[in-house]
Amino acid sequence: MSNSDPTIFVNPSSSSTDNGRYFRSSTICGIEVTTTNDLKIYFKSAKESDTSDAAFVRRANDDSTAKDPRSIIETIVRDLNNNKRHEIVLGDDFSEKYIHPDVLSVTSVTAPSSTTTIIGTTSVSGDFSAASDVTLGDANSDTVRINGYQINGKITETDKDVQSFTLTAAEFKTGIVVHTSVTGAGVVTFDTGANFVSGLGMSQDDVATCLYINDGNQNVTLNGGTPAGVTYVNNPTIAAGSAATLVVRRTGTNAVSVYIV
Amino acid sequence: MNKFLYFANSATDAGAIPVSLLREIQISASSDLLRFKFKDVGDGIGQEISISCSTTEDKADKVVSSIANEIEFGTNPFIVIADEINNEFIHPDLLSVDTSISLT
Repeated sequence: MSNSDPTIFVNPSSSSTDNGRYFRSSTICGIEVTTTNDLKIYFKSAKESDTSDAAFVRRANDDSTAKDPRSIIETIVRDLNNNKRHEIVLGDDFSEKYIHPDVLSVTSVTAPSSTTTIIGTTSVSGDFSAASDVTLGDANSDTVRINGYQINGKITETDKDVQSFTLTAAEFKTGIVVHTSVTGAGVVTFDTGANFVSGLGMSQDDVATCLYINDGNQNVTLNGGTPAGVTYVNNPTIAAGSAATLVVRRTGTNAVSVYIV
Repeated sequence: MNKFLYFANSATDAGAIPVSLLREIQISASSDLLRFKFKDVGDGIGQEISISCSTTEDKADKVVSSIANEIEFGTNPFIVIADEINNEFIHPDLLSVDTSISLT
């Protein structure tokens, strides 16, 4: 008994069937051409958040202009609805079988993304949680408003019981640095700009903050050394028993500015 | 039957979308445009695929009636809504495709 949902095969590898992919024909959600030589077929993915995209090379006219794609697309649609077939080869670079003489090869089969994009105003009436990175807003003109008590979770503490030290991105990331300054006037040197950019996962103009607490008995300056890619914008001395907020802003590929508030 | 709606602006801008993704056909305020709205293929929330076609003024309802009839009773799974390459349209009052066929 036919269920009118033949299985579709696509294989972009000319050396084997290792990368072959089978799709249910009912998952096709679009067929399109956008250039002289391309043909794209989109399949709804199991993740539901995106499509698996099969891209093909199609034949152009002899004068290199784009050929009318209708024959290819119509052939695909008709074959999908041919109840006598259980399997359709859209394109197989290994066996060099293609659904239409104008389909020349399989360019790629792209795996779906897990990203779900929300456009427009969205409200969530219940609790909202995300297990990965979250971006809110996209420009200075966008407003991100928190209408509730704000809690910064997962803040831990880095403890330093020395006169001077180099503050790494990993330590900065903990959120709080408690420095028990000892012996004599201390100096804190920042890690390189490259390490801060990569360690904090910063994009251009991203800003990250960390609390610095000097609970020792010595004054400390926070502009130590000349770490590559770091610009100390200001340098107040943090007296014994005082604290400051350290602000790092990415200013270039491997560069950050450090503001001490 | 897994029917598809076919739109073609040119040989580099054409596509077919399953009827199952069609959510709405809207007549514009000036009564000379049909806007086909399809469910977004990537499931982006709040997104849609929109394709607009010009019609003879105040004849859009006739065009939609033809489309509905073809979707419901037609025996051809490949339904040509507008093919500007071959100057073929589902109804004489559907005149052109006004937007790019962009599915993603």
